[in-house]
Amino acid sequence: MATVGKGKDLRKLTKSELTELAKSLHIKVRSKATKDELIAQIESAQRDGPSLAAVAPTSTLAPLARGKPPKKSAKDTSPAAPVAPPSTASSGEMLEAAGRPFQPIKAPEHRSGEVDRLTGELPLGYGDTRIVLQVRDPHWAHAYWEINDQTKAELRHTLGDEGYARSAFILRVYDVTDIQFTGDNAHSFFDIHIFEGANNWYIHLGRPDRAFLIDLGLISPHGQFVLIARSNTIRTPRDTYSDVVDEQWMVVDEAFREIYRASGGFQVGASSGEIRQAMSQRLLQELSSGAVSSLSSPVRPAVPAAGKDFWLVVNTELIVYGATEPDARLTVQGKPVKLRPDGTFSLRFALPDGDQHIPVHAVNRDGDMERTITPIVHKTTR
Amino acid sequence: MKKGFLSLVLHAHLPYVRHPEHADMMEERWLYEAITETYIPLIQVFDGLISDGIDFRLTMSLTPPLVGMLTDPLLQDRYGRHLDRLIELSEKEVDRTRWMPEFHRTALMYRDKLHRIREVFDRQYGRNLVGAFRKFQDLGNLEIITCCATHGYLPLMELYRPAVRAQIEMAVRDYEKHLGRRPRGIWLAECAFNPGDDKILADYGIRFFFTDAHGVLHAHPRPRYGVFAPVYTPSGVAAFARDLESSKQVWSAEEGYPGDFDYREFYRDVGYDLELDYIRPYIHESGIRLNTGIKYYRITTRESNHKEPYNHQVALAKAATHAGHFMWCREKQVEYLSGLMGDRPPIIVSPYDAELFGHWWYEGPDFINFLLRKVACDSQILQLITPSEYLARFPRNQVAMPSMSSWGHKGYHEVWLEGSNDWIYRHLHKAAERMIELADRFPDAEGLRRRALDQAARELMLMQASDWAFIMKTGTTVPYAVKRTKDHCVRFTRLYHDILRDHIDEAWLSEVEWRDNIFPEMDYRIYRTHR
Repeated sequence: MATVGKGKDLRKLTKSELTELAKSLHIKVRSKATKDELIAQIESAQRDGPSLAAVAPTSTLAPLARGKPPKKSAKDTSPAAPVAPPSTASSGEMLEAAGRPFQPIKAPEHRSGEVDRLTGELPLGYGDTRIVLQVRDPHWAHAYWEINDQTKAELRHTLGDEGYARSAFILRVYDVTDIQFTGDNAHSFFDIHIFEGANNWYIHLGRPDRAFLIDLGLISPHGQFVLIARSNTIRTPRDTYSDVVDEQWMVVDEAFREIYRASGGFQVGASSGEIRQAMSQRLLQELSSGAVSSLSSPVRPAVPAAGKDFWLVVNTELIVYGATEPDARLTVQGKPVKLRPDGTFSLRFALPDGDQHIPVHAVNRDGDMERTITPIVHKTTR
Repeated sequence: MKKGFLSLVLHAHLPYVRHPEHADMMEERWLYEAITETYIPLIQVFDGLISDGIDFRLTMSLTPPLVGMLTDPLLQDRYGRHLDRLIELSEKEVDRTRWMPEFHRTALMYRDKLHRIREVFDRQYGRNLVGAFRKFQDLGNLEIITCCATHGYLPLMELYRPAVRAQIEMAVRDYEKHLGRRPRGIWLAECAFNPGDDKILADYGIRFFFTDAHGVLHAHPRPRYGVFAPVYTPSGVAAFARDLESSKQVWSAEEGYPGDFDYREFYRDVGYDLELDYIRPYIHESGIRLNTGIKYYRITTRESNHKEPYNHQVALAKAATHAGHFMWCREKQVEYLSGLMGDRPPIIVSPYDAELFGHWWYEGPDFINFLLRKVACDSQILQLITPSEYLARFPRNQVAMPSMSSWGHKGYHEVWLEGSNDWIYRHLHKAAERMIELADRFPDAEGLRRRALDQAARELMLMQASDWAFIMKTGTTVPYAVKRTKDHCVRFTRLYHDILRDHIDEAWLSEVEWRDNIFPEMDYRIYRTHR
């Protein structure tokens, strides 16, 4: 585990480590960013992050609250009544009420000049000092945390500027299974060194069916541990069957193992999900406003052959169109065709190779006059 | 008595994707496609079974967001127009394919099916599909269960018990409103169980839920019958476990039935294949091509992109064969298990996403149809059963606490808690903490403050939908999921501050209420710590 306590140590990191760190800080990283650019971004986030967090709760809201007065005043302003438009209204009316033409949902800055008061970015933090621990599976947990400016100031005060600068942030992971933790009675503990800028971590516990909690703290060069925040307690799930047998429902071990095997006990989690995930990907694929801006090509290939990047698809269709008296009856190849109010018609056919005889037959309203015109089309593909 | 029981469970769910502010929101098509390809075809299957006198049993969860969308007049209206356009396209397709008989028969199939779908939607059920499902429940063939109010992932809400409770209480109230009685069972979102949540279920009269196989298998103490009988949690709620073998036959990408070469190929859709001017009225209004649902090819082969024309009759025959195979496998399974289970007949619980049947697997509703008929009429070994009926028949079950688990990849929380989506939890948790704070602080709000508090609760719930984390993980349409998470959080946060400052902008609140209108009966007091 790399131990990088301070910003000045950033230069010792490789570019990919820096990229990882930047991601953990939710910094948007350009793929071509240089190492220097990455360091600058991280340092700036480490500087601004906490101070942003300190004013946090309202910071993202300020532009909303003080933005332009509402463009649309609600139709119904009485306090008690809900303002949803009448359910029978067409969506056209609703759109008008909303005062916004359709735009694919995307970054709000695309809306020229208008601040969308219903959307925005989230704060980096909420001005708390806290750490939260969550189970991921029998062997892993995830922790996220936040340290506010006041806590940092207190730490500097306690440790002195130099002591603070030379201290390392750690997560101290305690096994507190079946005990009331008092700070020094854990079954065991281990430390994880973390980057100062990190705000979350995946922790390998490796012990199913045990209870854990975490202290976030600083460890001084002399090994002194200063607590910053203590997490909630979690219990990892069992990863096999229980040792405990209920007397009323007892069965010999071999029989139980047979039931366990028949229940799929040795393949837990193996069959879950694969199709579900594929299915949802397909369900969602290209069926999202999010995809709009990225999909510029109007034609998707009719599944080009794998491994070849050049392809060509050619299809032919034939349009047969014309006009007659609006009240006439018309058939094309013997099948009736509905005329438009002005007497015109238009049909479109996928055209296979070969000859097509297309008799178009019209009879007037009184049934005493008729016309037949028969286009003949020959198609060959070479 | 038959030797064993089969309990089919279909989990019907879509996230709340209603967007009144947009005329043609692509995400709303998730709903339209599911209605056309899954919900109405299932209703047609059930009606057919009933008119043929088949005494079937099936369990379905209808999640509150789905029920909300299916009963929403704006979405019903939009779906009606969507369907009109689709029918128009299918009529044109009948003409267009006239000289190509291998496609023409499929064009006729779509036209006829779509006309019947409009018949079911408009005339038969007056656009109220929830009413259709309710009818089957009232007839005793279908057991409808509920789900967490917005499909919230409960184990990752653990720190805020009142928020977990609110997900259950809102779901129960919503169920009662739409289905006229209280739900007996629940599908926990993503099948995710956190020991202790059963107590909350018990408080609301819920008698059973489901876990993945290892939830019950790793219960404490050891479950005598494995996954083939439910256990009671210490609070007395029954936990039924998913059978992996039957799951795999349908779910597995390799061996699953839906990949059969005779079944319809999803990826060749006229929305992409046809000339732009012709197809333009039926794709997105911006000219972006998308799936229309009209597809002419069968899967054909896995090895190449060569596709043969689809033949619905051949595909139906294959669905019947697969239904027979599925039943035969369950019978063999039951016969084998009988030797291990002593006097207790095994129950095989097979849950699937409902949208698998029809949307992913076009012939899926036909498979269900054949399977229910075959088991009800032909099987000497198997009997269809709902969990409620099973519990009435076998009220005595072992008491054991199931293990924390989900049906996600690897069986725990990793799908919803990983690099792409772990950032959301600090915001979800903060919002839950603040909502509880507000509810405790304002026990009897009225007027504008009451509206703001109710809306804050809606925003929190919408933010908590497990769908957003899932989409971030699967990597498609991520911007939408990120935006939904942020939007609801931003709206919630502003409401929180405005309520505390006692400075609520009514026009703004009205717009938020109009956009995020889930749960009109929301009562923010469900978030109070002490109830």
